[in-house]
Amino acid sequence: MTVALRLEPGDPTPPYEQLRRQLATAIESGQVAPETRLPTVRQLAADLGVAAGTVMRAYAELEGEGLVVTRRGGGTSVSASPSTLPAVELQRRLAELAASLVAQARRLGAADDEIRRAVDRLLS
Amino acid sequence: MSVLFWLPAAVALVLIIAAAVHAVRRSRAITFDEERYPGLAALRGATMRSRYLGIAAGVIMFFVVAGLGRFGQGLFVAPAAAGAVVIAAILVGQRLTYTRARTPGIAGVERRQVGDYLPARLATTAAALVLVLAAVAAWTTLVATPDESGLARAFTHSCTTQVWDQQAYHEQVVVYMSGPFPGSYYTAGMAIGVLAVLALAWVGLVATTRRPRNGADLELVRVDDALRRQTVEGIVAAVGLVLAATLAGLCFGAATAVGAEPCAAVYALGSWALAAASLAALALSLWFAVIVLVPGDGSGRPS
Repeated sequence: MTVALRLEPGDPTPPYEQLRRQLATAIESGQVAPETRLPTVRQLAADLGVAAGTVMRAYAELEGEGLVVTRRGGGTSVSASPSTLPAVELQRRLAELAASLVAQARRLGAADDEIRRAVDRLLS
Repeated sequence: MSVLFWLPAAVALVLIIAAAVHAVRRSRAITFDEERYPGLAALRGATMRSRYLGIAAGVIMFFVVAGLGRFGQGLFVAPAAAGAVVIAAILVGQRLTYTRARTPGIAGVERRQVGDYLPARLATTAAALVLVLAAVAAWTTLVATPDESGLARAFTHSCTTQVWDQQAYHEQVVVYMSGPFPGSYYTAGMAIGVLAVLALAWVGLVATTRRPRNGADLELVRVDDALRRQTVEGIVAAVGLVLAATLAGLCFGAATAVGAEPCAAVYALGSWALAAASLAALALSLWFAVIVLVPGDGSGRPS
């Protein structure tokens, strides 16, 4: 299944950060398998209709987090084994994921208690 | 009527019937919900229009270039010139509808490569033709000799014959010169033309592959992939047609010159072998021409 990337024009978050966040989530959740070759900077920029620098910056940030590797002439691919994140970074990523879950659940009309119970059921 | 008339006529008839059957089998359109995807409908229309305009312009270009130069020199460049026009037209069609499959701000995590859209059998045949054409052209260029005008377009060979000089037979070496033979006078322009077509085709393949799209929409991806395969198939078939037609002309020219004075069996055999190669290349030209004229359904099934 193809993973979709969406840049929200109304979102105050910079496009590179929206892109980085979505790719990071897809990689960490296993939707994009390890060693998968990501689109070239030029292709993804053209597909999204953004400047190449936006994609380059998102890839650079992901590389800094150890989620992707870029090889000269080989393009960018998902790391074979994503490195263990430092505690601070892990907290930040967890907060992002939780915020995304809560926002999506609220859009579906779920109450906070229902969201909490759904998460508890998964964790129990 | 002699066998010289009936044999080529029968071969031509079989080839035409085969081409017609092949064309009918291929004529399947790419279908989708055009109201939902107006961009894809525009893309499909432009892809077809540019292809047929290119074919019409290519035919005109062929006859214009074929008449250029002395001693039929233009004939060896004409297939490449025509093919370049067809590929250029396909490229223009892609360029005019470059963003029609794109939804700004939405993309799929997918990496598109030229190899994803290349028709395997067609591309392999075209690649083999490049090698055969290069080998035959290198041979004719190396063995050609200058003619009376000093142009490298003659084939010179010698044979030992028995000559009666009133008293006894003597061995005498007789030198024969025949032409036109595809020496560098013809092959230089031909090589430049073929290399230019190969370069243009590569540009076309890369441009088709890089054309942006909304890769997150699976139905759009299905149709767009079919359109890309159709376009790439057209480019590869145009290249194949250029290569096969050029090879047919090259082999025919060499066969005529080598067989003009077949003083030894090797020249007669060589001439027949070259004529057979020319016929095979002509049949391949017909196959490629059908693919250029009747686009496939883009499903990726063998042509």
